[in-house]
Amino acid sequence: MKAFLKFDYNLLTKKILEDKLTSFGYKFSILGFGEIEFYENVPEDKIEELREEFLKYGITIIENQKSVLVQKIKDAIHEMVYGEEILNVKVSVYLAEKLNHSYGYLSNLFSDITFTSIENYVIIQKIEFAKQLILNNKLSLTEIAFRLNYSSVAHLSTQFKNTTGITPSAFQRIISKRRDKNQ
Amino acid sequence: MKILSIHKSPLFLKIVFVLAIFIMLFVSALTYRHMDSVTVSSEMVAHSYKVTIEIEQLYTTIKDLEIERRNYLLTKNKKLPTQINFSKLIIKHNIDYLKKITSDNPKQKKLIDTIEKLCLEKFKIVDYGLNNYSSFTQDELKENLLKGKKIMEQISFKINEMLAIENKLLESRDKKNDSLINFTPKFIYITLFVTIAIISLAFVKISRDLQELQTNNEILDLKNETNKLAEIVGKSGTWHLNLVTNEFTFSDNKFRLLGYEPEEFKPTLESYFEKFVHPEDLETLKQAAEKMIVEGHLPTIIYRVEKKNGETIFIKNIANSFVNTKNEKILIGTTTDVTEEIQTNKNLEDRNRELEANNKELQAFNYVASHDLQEPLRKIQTFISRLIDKEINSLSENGKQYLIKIKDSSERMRLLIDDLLQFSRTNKAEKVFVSTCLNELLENSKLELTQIIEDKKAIITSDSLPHLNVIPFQIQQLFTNLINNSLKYSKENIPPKIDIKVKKVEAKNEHKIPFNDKSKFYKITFTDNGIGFDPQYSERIFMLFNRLHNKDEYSGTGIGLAICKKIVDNHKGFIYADGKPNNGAKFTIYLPII
Amino acid sequence: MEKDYIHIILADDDEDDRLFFTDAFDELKMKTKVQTYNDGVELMNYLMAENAVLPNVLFLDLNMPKKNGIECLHEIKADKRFDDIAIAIYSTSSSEEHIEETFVNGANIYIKKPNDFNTLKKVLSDVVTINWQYHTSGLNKDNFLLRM
Repeated sequence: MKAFLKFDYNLLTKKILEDKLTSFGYKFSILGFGEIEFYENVPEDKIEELREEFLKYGITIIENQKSVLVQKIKDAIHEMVYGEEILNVKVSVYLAEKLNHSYGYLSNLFSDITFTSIENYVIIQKIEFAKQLILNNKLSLTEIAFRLNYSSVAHLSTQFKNTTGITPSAFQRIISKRRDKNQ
Repeated sequence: MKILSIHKSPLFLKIVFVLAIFIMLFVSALTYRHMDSVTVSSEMVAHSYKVTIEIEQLYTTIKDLEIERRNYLLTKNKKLPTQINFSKLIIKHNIDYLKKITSDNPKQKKLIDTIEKLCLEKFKIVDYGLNNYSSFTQDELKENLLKGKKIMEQISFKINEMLAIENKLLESRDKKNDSLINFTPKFIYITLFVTIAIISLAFVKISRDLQELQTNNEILDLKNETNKLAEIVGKSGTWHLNLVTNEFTFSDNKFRLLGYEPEEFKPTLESYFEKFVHPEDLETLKQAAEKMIVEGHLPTIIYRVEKKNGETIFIKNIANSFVNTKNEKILIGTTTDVTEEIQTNKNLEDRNRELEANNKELQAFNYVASHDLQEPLRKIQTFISRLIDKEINSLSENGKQYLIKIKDSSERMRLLIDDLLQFSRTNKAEKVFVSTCLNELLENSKLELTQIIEDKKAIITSDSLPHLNVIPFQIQQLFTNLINNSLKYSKENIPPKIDIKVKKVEAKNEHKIPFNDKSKFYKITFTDNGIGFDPQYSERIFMLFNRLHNKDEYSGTGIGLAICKKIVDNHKGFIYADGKPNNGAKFTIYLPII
Repeated sequence: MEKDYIHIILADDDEDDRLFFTDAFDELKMKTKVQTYNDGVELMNYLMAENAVLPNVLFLDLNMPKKNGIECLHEIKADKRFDDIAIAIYSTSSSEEHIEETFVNGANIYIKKPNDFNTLKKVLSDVVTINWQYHTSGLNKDNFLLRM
């Protein structure tokens, strides 16, 4: 018997954080964008415990300030791409405003740390989301293209192919064949 | 047909025969009756004559009496009274006789009675006269005589009446008699005529039937002879098996098929099985024969038979049943020597297998060759690229040039092998047809060629293509190759324009499709504005390795369009090219709608 | 890349291809550790060993003696321990259908061996980078498909 799932990652992560932090014991509050504030000083070894616990869930406590910012950029991009409203703003404008740095600075920092450009990262996220939408099977390619702010299906297909090397339809076919195989 | 057969049926003949007899009997009966009436009517005439004679006889006798009476009264002759009495007797006799013979005629009867009365009166007078003549006075004598005369007159009158009646009767009877007699020959003619007619009809029918029988017999003879010849030529024979009498007859050629002369032995079903049928096929044949006897029908069966000279041949047998006039069921079968066909078939099958195996070998060879050649070539190219990267500066000018040439040649080789591999894949691939959206395939093709399309600033327009049962990867390859072709052979500095159109057509309306029926095709055309080609090459360009330009003008392997043709062939479609030098090219594909 | 090196394993029976592979990574300025194996049996023996250090990316040649790439692919996909490894099929040209089939059988990446060394360097660099991004950006590994 099969059950198909849809994930709301925001809620998912938030819930896990809440559960973990509550059982951690120290008073905390979750500020958006992957920031937690503890109302008391937490000893170093406890932080290590928490770090290890978090790692099991794929949550990393970032030390580096630069890394923090990079993470913020990533989060912002994530929000932009996956957000319910289709944002017509340019990425550069959006990020600069949101994170209060010049886009040039953000861009350089991002490339230095991640070895890839913001534009590239945006594309990766869009294509990732596109993959999810394709597999969900609820929207047509045209609708997906619109949702992700592409000018046409051809544009989406081209970028999809450029990024993954295969066409959206081939992707769908392969994943569905995989599922059939794993019955 | 039914009516004809009724004509010919024995029952009908019997009925007609009985009818004819009846007619003849009827006519004879009529004749007999007629003869009877003639006889009767003659008798009637004779009768009338007799009556007339009798009447006249009576009258004469009465007159005699009168004369004798008068004689006696006048002469007193002693002899006369005896005479008179005698006459009286005769008259009485006559009257009695007349009474008798006129008993059938009431008028005459009445008259004769009257006459009798008158005669009796007369007798009285005569007797009176006789008895009293001696005492007669002259006046008494006169009175007696007068009385007598008066009576005589009355009698005469009555006699005449009688005679008149009888004469009339005689006249009519005579007339009737005459007419009957006159009719008699007519009756005889009619009888004769009817008899002749019946006999003639019978003759005509019999002679016609006889002729038909003869003609039929001739035809049968002819057919029989022809059949015998046909059997000889067709190497076949026939046999009959009478299921009631168990009589097994062979046609002449059936004997010959078994290696014997006609009628050389007397065939029976058992001896046939034992002596001729190949032991391995015996069981199957026996079972089929049993079934045949029950069902009256033997479907085609092939088995082996050993001829007189020991040679084994393949026999094909088929039989049906037929009921003859004696209501016996007869099985009729044909036997054909099919050894040659079986051998030829076997040879064909063997040849086919050989060819198929050969073909598979060639295909495998082609594939493996193309595939396995890739490895060393790739190495060569990679090492060349390493050399060029790292060591080119330590080479002399010539050395650099040579190295570049090697690189170019190896690149050309790679193109060839890639295309050859693609070509052999088109042959080798599993031909699985799936209902596919052709639009999607076209979009995929355009995606594959995105770079070149962008570089050349090409514009590709297309109709919305339909769904069709195709081999998806192959059709996509087809589209890619055609578009690539148009892009490659575009005019310099002019952005290529490719227009793709689709139309549903029927075979009979398209002279390019070699069928002439209503089968449906999709006609897809790729039209470009490139350099075109000379139309005399429109068939050659689909041939393997065929190029219309040398490799320095345009790169190409001469395999791309051959692959297109192969793909279209795999789909049982057709592909044609039209073009004019410098005026673009048009490729037309017909894909059957299945 | 922040902390670790990226652990890469190649299984290929061709000596020259192994050489190209290791040379390419040597020239790339990425922190990588490259291991090579000569055939499928050697590879599986290494992976199946207890406490084996599993690679981030595994490059599999298809035509290997004793045990070929597809057999290895099946064995690896069948074992939950190897779920985190990104598997790249590293092969000479195959037909479209065949390539799709390797994806369906569980490969994440398909690479057609390039004819040119510089292209090889670029391809390997892209693969490793993209894979690392998957790792660090929490992208869905199951949907990771890449064709070069």
